[in-house]
Amino acid sequence: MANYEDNRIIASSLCYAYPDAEKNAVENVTMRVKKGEFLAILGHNGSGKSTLAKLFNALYVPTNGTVWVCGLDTKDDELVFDIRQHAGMVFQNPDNQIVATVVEEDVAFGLENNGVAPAEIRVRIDEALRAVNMSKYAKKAPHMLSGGQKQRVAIAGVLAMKPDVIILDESTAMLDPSGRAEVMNTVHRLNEEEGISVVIITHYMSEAATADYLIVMDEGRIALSGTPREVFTKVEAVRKLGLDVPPMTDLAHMLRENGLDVRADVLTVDEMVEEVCRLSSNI
Amino acid sequence: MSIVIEHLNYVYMAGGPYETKALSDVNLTICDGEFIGLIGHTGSGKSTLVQHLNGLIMPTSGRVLVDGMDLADKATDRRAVRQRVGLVFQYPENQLFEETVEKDIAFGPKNLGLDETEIARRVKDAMRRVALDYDKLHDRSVFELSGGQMRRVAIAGVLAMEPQVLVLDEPCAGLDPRGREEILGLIKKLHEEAGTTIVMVSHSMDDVASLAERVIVMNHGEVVMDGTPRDVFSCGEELRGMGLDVPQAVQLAGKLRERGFDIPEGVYRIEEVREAILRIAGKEAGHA
Repeated sequence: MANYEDNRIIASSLCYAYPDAEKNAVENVTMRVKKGEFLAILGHNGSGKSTLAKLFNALYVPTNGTVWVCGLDTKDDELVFDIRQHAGMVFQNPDNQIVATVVEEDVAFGLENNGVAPAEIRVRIDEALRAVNMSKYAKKAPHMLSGGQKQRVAIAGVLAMKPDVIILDESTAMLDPSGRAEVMNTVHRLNEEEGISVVIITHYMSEAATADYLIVMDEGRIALSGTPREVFTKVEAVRKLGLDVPPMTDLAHMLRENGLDVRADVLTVDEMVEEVCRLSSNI
Repeated sequence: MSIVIEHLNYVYMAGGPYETKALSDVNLTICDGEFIGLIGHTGSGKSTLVQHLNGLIMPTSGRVLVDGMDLADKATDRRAVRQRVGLVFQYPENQLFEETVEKDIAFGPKNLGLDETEIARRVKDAMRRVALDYDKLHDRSVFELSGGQMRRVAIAGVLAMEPQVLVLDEPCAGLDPRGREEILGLIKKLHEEAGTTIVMVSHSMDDVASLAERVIVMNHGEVVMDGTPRDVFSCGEELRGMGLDVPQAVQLAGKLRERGFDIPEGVYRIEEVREAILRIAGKEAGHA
């Protein structure tokens, strides 16, 4: 049995094949999401990353291998609702995951379905909306909100269930830069202040660079993994997998090819500034 | 063929409680063969503006002249204008509806009343331009394709109308890096090889910096900047004030300048910053 205290999600020799598919969409993946960890999963379209996310909250059940969410085996039908309470999911499109006509009713949806007492529901809605900075929109109609605000409402709906893990499946893909920043700041704060583990599936290397740990998927397998620094330093390998590296890592790579002694694992503009300063003072 | 916009104003839901002024006294001329990057945060009026370019929205006041024709004039043949100015919406793959790839791309040309051979020629030509293999894909269902392929089918449907101006509203939204590169590559090729005028709405400053020759910035329904990428991206503070990013190369150049390094003004591409850093390293090494 998996150790639930330290590991929120454990996948062991996990395989998944879609019905009638010739190949497994997820192939022999073993990994874990630690308590309080911020994990990013990268990979081009069709690499299996979204399938993996859906296996993490029992939307899909493994064809082979096992997923434990907080110690609960996702293969057990009886546990599905418990599992989704522990591991909440936020999807890509802000317009098709909001069901109610008033923001706070949408946040209450999961709680009502779980038979939580009305007084408790009130408390949880207020807490959840406060946590995503949307309290003043509680009585508003969701369609009047921006994309970033809608996604924060969706996150509040997940938060109200008091989850141990939040999974965001490309939840920033349809947002503009400020909406993206709103969502990313929100989940980082929940991760740091509330200790909630976060799994983000993303195409944005800048978002992935803020994670504690990265997994790069390819052909259903884990192709690369490590801290963002460890992964992005492998510029050629990352490119071969159809992904970008952050612009500053790319620049560091070019400068090194030109014979300059800059660190290969530069991720941000500020780090590059420090490298240039160090370089010029050494000379 | 040019598009001239004069004193354009547009108000949504005029007279109602949600009345919003989306465009305010916009004056622009889009010349033949330009590659324009149109940027601005959500709600700045970009999408409203581009929908005026082929008469999907009519001005509340002011006018839009496409090749000298006033779109609001009843005598103007709007169909003819829409043929010249092709508009690719956000997530255009959501608008695919035909049974096969070929039928979907042929839909526009068919409605123009062209004959079968001309339609077939245009479909093949459009598919070639978006790098979709005609023989392999023409009779496939669009819904069997990958997201990036579906988007290219949608773009091909607009290209089959053989527009002289192609307007794309965030053509790379939601695509993975490989898909993004493919779409940007084909837009660049259309501009360079076919001479198509491009207006690209984008949230990615790095994409705009690498492709556009002219950058137009919108804020609160007004055009607030209009110039070369070099000029526009050198106004980092103003852009940030409008909720926009600047390319990382520009951020780095600015911070290095603050530390006293000699980085030329107007640098906005990664390659340019690399040159500047190499020069710094080389020059300093010369002193040692």
